[in-house]
Amino acid sequence: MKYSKQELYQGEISRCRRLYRGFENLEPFLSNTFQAVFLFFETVEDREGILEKVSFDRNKARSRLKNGESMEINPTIQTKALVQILNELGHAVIRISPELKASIKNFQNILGNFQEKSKERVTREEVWKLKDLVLAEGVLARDMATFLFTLALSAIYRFNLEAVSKGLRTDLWEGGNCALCGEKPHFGLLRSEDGAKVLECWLCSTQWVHTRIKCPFCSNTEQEKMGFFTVEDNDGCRVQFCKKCGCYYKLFDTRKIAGENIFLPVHNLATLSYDLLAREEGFKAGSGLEWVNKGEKPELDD
Amino acid sequence: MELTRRSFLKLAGVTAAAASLTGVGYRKAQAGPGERLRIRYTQEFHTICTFCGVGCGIICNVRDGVIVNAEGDPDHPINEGTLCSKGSSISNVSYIFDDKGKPVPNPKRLTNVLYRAPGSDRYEVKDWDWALETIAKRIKDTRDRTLEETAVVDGREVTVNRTNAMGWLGSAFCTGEENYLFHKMARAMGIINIDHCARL
Repeated sequence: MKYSKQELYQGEISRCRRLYRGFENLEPFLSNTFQAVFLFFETVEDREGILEKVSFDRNKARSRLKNGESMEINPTIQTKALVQILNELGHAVIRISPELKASIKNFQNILGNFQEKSKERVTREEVWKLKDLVLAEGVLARDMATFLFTLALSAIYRFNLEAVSKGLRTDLWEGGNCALCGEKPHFGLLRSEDGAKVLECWLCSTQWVHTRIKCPFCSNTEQEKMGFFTVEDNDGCRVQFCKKCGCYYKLFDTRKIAGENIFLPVHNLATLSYDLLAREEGFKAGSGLEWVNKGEKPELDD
Repeated sequence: MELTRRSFLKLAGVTAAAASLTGVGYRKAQAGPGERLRIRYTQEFHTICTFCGVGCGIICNVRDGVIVNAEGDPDHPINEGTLCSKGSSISNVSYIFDDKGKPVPNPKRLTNVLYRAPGSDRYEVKDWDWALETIAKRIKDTRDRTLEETAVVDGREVTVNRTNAMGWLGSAFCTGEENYLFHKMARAMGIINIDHCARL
């Protein structure tokens, strides 16, 4: 049976409520923002054109992956659609917390200006630059900026690249970054049938098997320098770390989180407390996604 | 488009605190005020199952120096993440759990050299230096005593330089190169009864 992303999301909500302490506080916000994304894709014009079409020769892709080179795709994004989805997410924030209206209005002003000054299509780098500016302006805190931008970008990528991602020979890929878009992973899972480590790209949702005891960021294989921590009452989420590069990522053990078709982005959001713990323990996110604010961890570097 | 900070400054017209996830009700430190989520560190180590000749790959989870779990290594070409019932319980070789579920060292685990002298009914604890020296001495004595330099084959005397008084057991857990050296060493001593633990 094939599940749509919306069905997957709804299936995860009850599971996360059971698994993670404090998830009920996040649930209304998540429901509103995910609904905004689903509504956006139902109503937007030319949804197939939001992301530039990606295609490649299968044989060339195969030899490239075999040689250890990621496809590094970087399709342009329709500026209007990106701004629209971010605006919709902004409205969802206001619906949950009307007191954030002034901040979100400032954010939406910036988005309007960005659309006005940008070309019809923008690159991923330009979107990240926009995020950096929003942060520099103090309009959004780090966690909110990461949430809104990663949700908008990943929704666009996932919607448009699902078929491309599934057709890629990731079984030939041994790298730590995404075989398709080159992004570094923030989460993955331990497969229920054999315990294999499967990393998932937070951006395009490409999944690939990666050596279990190996750091995806610095390729370290020294066992003594790697490990993971869990929270005492929940060992379904592991924070894997490497002391050589000081980075962490999260693994969800599907042998303990029972069920198929796990929708990892929701689990990632439900476990942001683990990201905070990882920072407190002295590790930084290998993906480069910052989910912790300065106030939550005072000695955080800028 | 050139994005500059200046181009946005004028747009942030209303002064407002940065919107964060805390603002929408999400507290990341969920355990409660002043309370911290308690974490447990674990390390993972590769090893090879010691029970039979198949040589399955295992990942051992070690917490505070205690093996708390063992599972099949998904990256190992032989077992691809699976383990038999004996292999799955291999962590109990070093630690078992008491009535309260607390890990305690397995009292039956062999941690010293135990020696039973010929004709004796009990084992004595010995150190490794004594054991290695004794083994070397007895191998040499046995070889010197039993070595056949020649044998008659088809009515013809041929050089054999062999002993039937000793055997040599190789291992499925060693590499091909290691087993090559063991084989050479056994042959150099004249041992012809060479076997291996693999039963495939």
